[in-house]
Amino acid sequence: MTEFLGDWHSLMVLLLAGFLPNEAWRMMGLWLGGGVDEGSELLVWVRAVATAILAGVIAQILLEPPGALAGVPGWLRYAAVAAGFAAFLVSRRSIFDVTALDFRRRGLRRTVHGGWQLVARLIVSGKFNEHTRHRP
Amino acid sequence: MWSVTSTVLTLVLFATYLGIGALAHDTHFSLGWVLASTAFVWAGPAQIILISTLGSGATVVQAAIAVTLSAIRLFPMVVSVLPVVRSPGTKRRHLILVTHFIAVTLWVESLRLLPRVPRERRIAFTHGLGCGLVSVCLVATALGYGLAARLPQLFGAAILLLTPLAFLLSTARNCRQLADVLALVLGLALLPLVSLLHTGVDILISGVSAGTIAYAAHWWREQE
Repeated sequence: MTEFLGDWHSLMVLLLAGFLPNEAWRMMGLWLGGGVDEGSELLVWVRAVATAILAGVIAQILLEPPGALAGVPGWLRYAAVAAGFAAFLVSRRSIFDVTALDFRRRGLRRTVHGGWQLVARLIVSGKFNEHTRHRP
Repeated sequence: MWSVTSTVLTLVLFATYLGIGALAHDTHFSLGWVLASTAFVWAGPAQIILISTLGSGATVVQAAIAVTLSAIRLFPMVVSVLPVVRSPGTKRRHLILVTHFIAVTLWVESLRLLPRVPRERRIAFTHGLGCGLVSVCLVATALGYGLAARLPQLFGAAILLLTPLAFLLSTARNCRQLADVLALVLGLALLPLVSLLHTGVDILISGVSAGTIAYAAHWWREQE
């Protein structure tokens, strides 16, 4: 059991640095946001701030990447995310369509580029392969 | 509960948590620890920040500050989801579990799906959706942890890159007003600028200012 869970120290770290910070903000939303009306102007602002903070987290993961991602050069990280997002915009805002588009682009790239493009392709397509098996 | 299977984000989430499991293995956390973090923290970016800061040798206090800042975004999410979930007779304690489940995916999906659910069934619906998503992610975490030793480096990197892209696409899909679009674009653009200042609270500064500018633009347009 100790092997499975690890020592008490690391579990305390999880509680203090992982669980409490997240749960505190959630419960604050529950306490303070109780009386807020669905269509209120305050919610428009609150949602804009939530969106912008999430955008900040996205930018930070790209800027200071964790784990194995740190081994991928910066320009490639930005290019891969930009390519994925561009495909998304082109394709009527549907994630399913990104898959189709990605495959078309992949076919094109294979014929033209090598080297780094191969790596970029793997990164862009690796994650979309998850979807393809489940396409309707 | 079957709505879990109706969303592509479930697959994206699955891959994200494969990555988190793999990351936890690489940074020498135990399987039980990372499973507990998935169930109790239940916020992808926070878990990635927690594991990677602790793994890179930061102190518990530094990790806690970074996670707290990333978790601020949960507050407005909760505030915007709860009015849609609750009905006039709902007690606050009935919403505690709903509140715990709220994270990016549930926020996006509940704002998308809940309008089609009768109001009195929305709490039950959200519980089902939340339990379903957590179960899927627990399986993914365990799988990622087990596979970590055999995953090629490049595949691991691709899975980790899926996290920001998934968040970006799902937020973009949920943009309903000018304020949302502006907030997303400004939030992405401001963080690299703010991070040059090395304040330690970069995400907070860029998020609040980008969000407020976006709201100001929205307010200004409404006045015309």
